[in-house]
Amino acid sequence: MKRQMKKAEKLNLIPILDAVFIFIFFLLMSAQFVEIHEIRTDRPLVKDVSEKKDDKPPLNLTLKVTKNNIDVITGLDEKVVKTIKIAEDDKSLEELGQTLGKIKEKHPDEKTIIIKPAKTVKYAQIIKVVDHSKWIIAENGMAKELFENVIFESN
Amino acid sequence: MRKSKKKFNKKMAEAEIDITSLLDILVILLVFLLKNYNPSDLKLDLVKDLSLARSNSKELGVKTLILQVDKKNNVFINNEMATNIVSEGNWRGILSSKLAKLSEDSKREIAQIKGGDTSNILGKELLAKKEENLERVNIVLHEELPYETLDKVMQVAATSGYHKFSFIVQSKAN
Repeated sequence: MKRQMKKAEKLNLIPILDAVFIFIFFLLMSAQFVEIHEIRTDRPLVKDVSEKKDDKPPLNLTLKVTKNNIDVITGLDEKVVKTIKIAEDDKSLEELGQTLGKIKEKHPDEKTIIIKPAKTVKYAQIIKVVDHSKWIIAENGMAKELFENVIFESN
Repeated sequence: MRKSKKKFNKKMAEAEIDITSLLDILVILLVFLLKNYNPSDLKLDLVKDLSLARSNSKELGVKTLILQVDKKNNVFINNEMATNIVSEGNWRGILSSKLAKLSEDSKREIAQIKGGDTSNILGKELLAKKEENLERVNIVLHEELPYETLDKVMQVAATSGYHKFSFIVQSKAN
């Protein structure tokens, strides 16, 4: 009796290869090897003060950034809550984040922060300050939002 | 004659290309490209002498007017040299007129879309997106430049119809 050999069935890979090739072209066209993002900001606009009547005094949180210091200012009387010395490493900015985190805990509804940099402060330094004003890294490594509206004012 | 043809057909059937290695490469390429995929519609061609500031931001950029200022204070609008903040005396006037013209063009484009067929969902979405970003400008500044430069550029942009700003930064993960 002749033993009949069963021929192994082969998968037809041609359609999947076609799809993969198209997918690769699509990804190649939309690939970005330098990952870029944006930080949205505003400049102050003149507003009618009477439009919002609130008994609570505004927080008016302001960061006055100079080459060597960052002053954390609150209230209409512009009270300096803390002065942070800018060091070479990022520890001073971590301190800024912690200070702003404490303020956020006290004022959870507040979303605006005003940044007033001195004319000579470098752009990279300003971005670092904005970073630490907008987000704080929580203990679980996740970024927690602090003040989402960043407004720039000139000194 | 018949015998040799049969032999030839058998040989042809056996000849197959091994595509395992090709598939391996394709899978690696696919993973690599998927990792670099960016859903943002903002495509940025950096000008010479400009390095981006680094940030933790994860917000995706939107396609709108791009204003770049390089290390030598040259200002570029959508990759075209417009003026120089230091060497050009009337740089404010030049930049302001160019930005105002672009703002007018965008407004006209929106009016044209509104005048056309906006009944379909795609048309409505396009219009809403264009209107939302009408006053937005993407600012790309060299990281070493002082705030004074940024302030000047923002002032001129704001007076020319661009009140909303997006600072374009490089992810710290890079």
